Amino acid sequence: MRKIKKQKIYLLALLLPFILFVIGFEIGPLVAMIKNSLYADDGITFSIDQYLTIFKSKFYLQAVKNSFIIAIFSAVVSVIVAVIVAYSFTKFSQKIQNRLLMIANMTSNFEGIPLSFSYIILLGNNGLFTLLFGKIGWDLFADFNLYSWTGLILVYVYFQIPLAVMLIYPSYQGVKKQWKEASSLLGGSKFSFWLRIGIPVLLPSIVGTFSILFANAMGAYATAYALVGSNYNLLSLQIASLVASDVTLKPQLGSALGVLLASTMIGAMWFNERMMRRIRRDLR
Amino acid sequence: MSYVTIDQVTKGYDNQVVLNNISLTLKKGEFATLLGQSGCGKSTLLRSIAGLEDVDVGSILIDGIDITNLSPRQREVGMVFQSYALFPNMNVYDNIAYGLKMKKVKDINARVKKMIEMVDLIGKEASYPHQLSGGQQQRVALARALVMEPKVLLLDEPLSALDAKIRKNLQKELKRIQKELDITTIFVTHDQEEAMTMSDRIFVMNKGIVVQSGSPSEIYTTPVNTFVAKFIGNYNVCSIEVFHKLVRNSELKGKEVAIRPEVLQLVSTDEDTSDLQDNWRIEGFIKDVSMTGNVLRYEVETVESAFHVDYLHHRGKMFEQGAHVQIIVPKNECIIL
Amino acid sequence: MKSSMTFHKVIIGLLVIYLIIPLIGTLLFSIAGKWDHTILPENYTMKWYMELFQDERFYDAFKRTLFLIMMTVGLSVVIMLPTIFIISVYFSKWERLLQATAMLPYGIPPIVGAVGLIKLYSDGPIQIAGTPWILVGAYFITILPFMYQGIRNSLRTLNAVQLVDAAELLGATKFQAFRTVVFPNIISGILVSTLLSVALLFSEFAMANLLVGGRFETLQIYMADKLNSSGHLTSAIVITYYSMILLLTGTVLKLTFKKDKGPIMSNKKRILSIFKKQYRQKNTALEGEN
Repeated sequence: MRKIKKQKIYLLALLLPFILFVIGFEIGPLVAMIKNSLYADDGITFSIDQYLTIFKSKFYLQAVKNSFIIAIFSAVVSVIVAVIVAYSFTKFSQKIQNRLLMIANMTSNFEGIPLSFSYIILLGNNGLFTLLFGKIGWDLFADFNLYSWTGLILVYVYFQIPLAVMLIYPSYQGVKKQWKEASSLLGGSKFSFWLRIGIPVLLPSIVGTFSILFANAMGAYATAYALVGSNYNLLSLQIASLVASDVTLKPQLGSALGVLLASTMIGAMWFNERMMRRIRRDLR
Repeated sequence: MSYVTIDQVTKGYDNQVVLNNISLTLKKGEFATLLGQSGCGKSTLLRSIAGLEDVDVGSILIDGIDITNLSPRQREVGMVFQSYALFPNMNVYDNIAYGLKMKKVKDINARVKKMIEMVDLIGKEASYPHQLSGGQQQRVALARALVMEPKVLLLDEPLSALDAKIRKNLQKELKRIQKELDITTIFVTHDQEEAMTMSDRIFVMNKGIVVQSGSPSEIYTTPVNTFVAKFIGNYNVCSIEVFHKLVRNSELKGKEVAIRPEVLQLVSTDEDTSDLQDNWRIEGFIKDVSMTGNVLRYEVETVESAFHVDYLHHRGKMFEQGAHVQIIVPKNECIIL
Repeated sequence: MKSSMTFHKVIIGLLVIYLIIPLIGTLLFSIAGKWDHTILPENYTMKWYMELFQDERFYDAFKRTLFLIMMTVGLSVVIMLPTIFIISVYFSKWERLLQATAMLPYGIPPIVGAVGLIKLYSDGPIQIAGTPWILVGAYFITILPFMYQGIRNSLRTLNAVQLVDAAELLGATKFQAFRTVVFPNIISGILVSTLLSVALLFSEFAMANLLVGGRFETLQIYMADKLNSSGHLTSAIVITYYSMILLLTGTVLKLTFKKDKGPIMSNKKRILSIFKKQYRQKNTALEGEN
C-alpha cells in the first residue's frame, strides 16, 4: 500500500506544470481583476467606488448599452438566418451538405482584423464598392457609413452567421424523418408538424446558439478595434483603453468593467448550459 | 495443494462493499469460473488478482508467493479483456511479441511463431487488429497473454462480444488450449450455460460473496439457495406453504421448494395417475407454450403459482394453450432450500 | 416540390454569395492594377505581393507569430497529455474539476483575461508584461479548451486505460506503456486539435495588442498597423494571411473528414461499431433472460 502511495506523489509532481499555468494565467488573473475592481483609483483604498462610477456615468452605461444592443441584434439576425439556411441545407444531398458546412467552417475563420480590413477596402470611405457605386451612380450606399453602428452590425453579422449555421445545423438531425411521417400519418399538416414538434425540438439549441453568439459579440474586440477604433463607444473598447492605453489609464475602473463583461458572458454560458441539458433530456 | 489462494479479501468503493471477505482456493491446472450477474464483484475480484485494483483487506497468493502488494507487471499473470485491448498500432506479430520484448527474452521469434500456430492465426502475422474479425482479435489477445507463460490466465468475459456461433467455436478451442498447456485459468462470465460447458469448478457470486462453489453438475443439481436455483437452472421455486397446499401433503419441511423444469411431466386430467407412487400431482392449465428450438416450454398456471415445464421437442403429443393438465412432480427431485 | 427546391437553392446561393463576396473583392483588389470605374479591374498585377514579400517587417512579424504558436502549442501538448492521462487513470475523482478548469477559458473573452494579466504581471515579482512570455502563458490558457477536448476524446476512443492495463500485465512499466501504446495511437487524434489551436492563435489579436503591442510585433499587430497604408497592399496581406488560415483549417477538415470517409479507417470504424452493437444487444438479451 505504501508503495502505491509513493507512486501517486510522483504522479502528482507531473501535474505541477499544469497547475502552475492554471494558477498563473487563468485563476490568478481572474482573482486579480476582481480584487482590483474593489479598489479606489489610488489602488490602496478598498471601496466599491468603481462600480458606483460606472452606474452613475452616462458614458460607461452608454458603452454597456451599445455593446448589449449590438450583441443582441447581431445574434438575433444571425440566428434567424441560420435557422432558415440550415433548414435549406438539409434539403441537399449529403455531399453538398458537407461542402456547404466546409464553406461555413472556412468563412467562420475570417474574422477580426482581416475581416474589418476587407470591409474597409470594399465599403470604407475610399472603398472599392463605395467609389465604384459612386461612379456608376447607384446611391444605394450614399448614406452608408461603415464606421458606424450599421457598419459594425454588418461586420458582426458576417462573422456570426457561419458560426450560427454550424451550431444550429446538427440539431436538424435531431428532427427525425420518422416523426414527420408519423405526424402526417396521424393527419397533421406540414405546418402543424413544425409548430408542435419541429420548433419545440429545435428551440433549446436555438436559444443555446443565441447565447453563444451573444457572448461572442459582447466580447469581440479586434473587429471593432480595427473598424471604429475609439470612434464608437463599446464596452470592450473602453476596457482596453482603460487598462492599456497611455492616455486614460484607470486599471481599477477597467477591472470593474471587465467583471461586468465577464458576468454577462458567464451568465450567457450558464444559460446555454441549461438549454443544452434541456435538449439532452428531451432527446433521451 | 492449492496453487491460487484468495484469503479473506475485502474491497469497497465509497461506502459500498464490492468484495466481502472472499476466500477461495484453486488447484494447479484447474479451469475455474466466477459466475454472476453484472455488479456481483466477479470482475473486481479478477482485476484484484491481476493487480489492476488494490484490495482493502486480505491477501492473494499464487504458487506460494504473496502477490497482494506486487504491481501487475511483477505478478506473472496473463489477462484477456472483454474488448480485447489489442494495441491498434501494432500488427498481430508485434502484439504477441510485445510482452517478450518488454522482458527482453531470447528466442522471441520461435515463441511467437509457436503461439500463432496454436491459436490458428498463421498467415495473419502482418495484419493489424482492425483488419481482423472479432474472433480473430480475441485469439490474438489470448496468444498475447499465453506467450508469456503466465502462472495464471485470467479471462474477463472474453467471449461476450462475439456472436453465438463464433462464441461456441472459441469456447471449445479455449478449452482445448487450456488443457494442452495445463494452465490454471480463472474465467469470468455472466452466462450460466458458458460456465457449465467450460469449467472444472464454478464459483457463483452474488453481492460480493461466493454463494456456492462446486463442479457444474453439483451446482446445477443441488443449488444451495433460491438465488442459485433461479440463476443457474431456471428452477421453479415456491414457498413451502404454497407447495403443501398444491400437493395436498405436508411431508416436506423447510422454507422453499425448488424443482427443475425438465423433471416435471404433464398428463391430461382424464388420465388415471393413481399408480404413480413416488410422485405428487398438481392440477392446472396451459397458459402459454413457447419454443426455443429443441425445447418446448409450457407455462402452467395453478391455483397458487405458475410452473415452467420443459419438454424436448419431438413428435409426441403436444398440449394446446388452455388445456387442463396435471403436473407430475417426482418426489426425489424436489430440492429443499 | 420543385418550386420549394428552387427556394432552397436561392437561399443557399444568397448565403454563399454573401459570405464569399468580401473575400473575392479583397482577392481581386490585391491583384488589381487600375480599378476605379469598371465592374472588374482593368488590368492585373502582382506588384502588391512583391512589395509585401520584400517587406522585412512582414517576415519578422511572421516569425514571431510562428515562435509564439510553436512554443505555446508544444508546451500545451507536453503538459496536457500527461496531465489528462494521469488524472483520468489515477485520479478519476478530479476529472470534473479538470474539465471545469479546462473549459472555463471558453467563457472568458480575451479582453477580460488581459485585464487581470496586466494587473498581475506589470509589477510585482514577475514582470513579464510586454514580453512574449506573458503571451505564451496567456495563449496556453486560450487553447486549453481545445487541447483538453481533443486529448480527452482521443484517450477515450482509444480506451487508453485498458491498453495500459494490458501492457502492464505484459511486463511494461507505466512509462513504457504510455510511450509504446498510448502515445503512437493518439498523435493523429491530437493533430486536429493542435491545428485548430494553431489557427486560433494565428488570428489572435486582443491579447497580443493589450499585453505586448508593438514591443513584440506579431502578424496581427503588423496587420493592424498597416491599416492605413495602401488598400492594395493591405488586401495582399489579408489574402496571404487568409490563405495560411485556409491551409490550416483545410488540413483539419481533411483529417476529420478522412476519419469518417477514408476506406481503411471506415472499415475499422464499421467493424468497431458492429461489435459494439452486437455486444450491447447480447448484453440486453442476457439481462432479459436472467
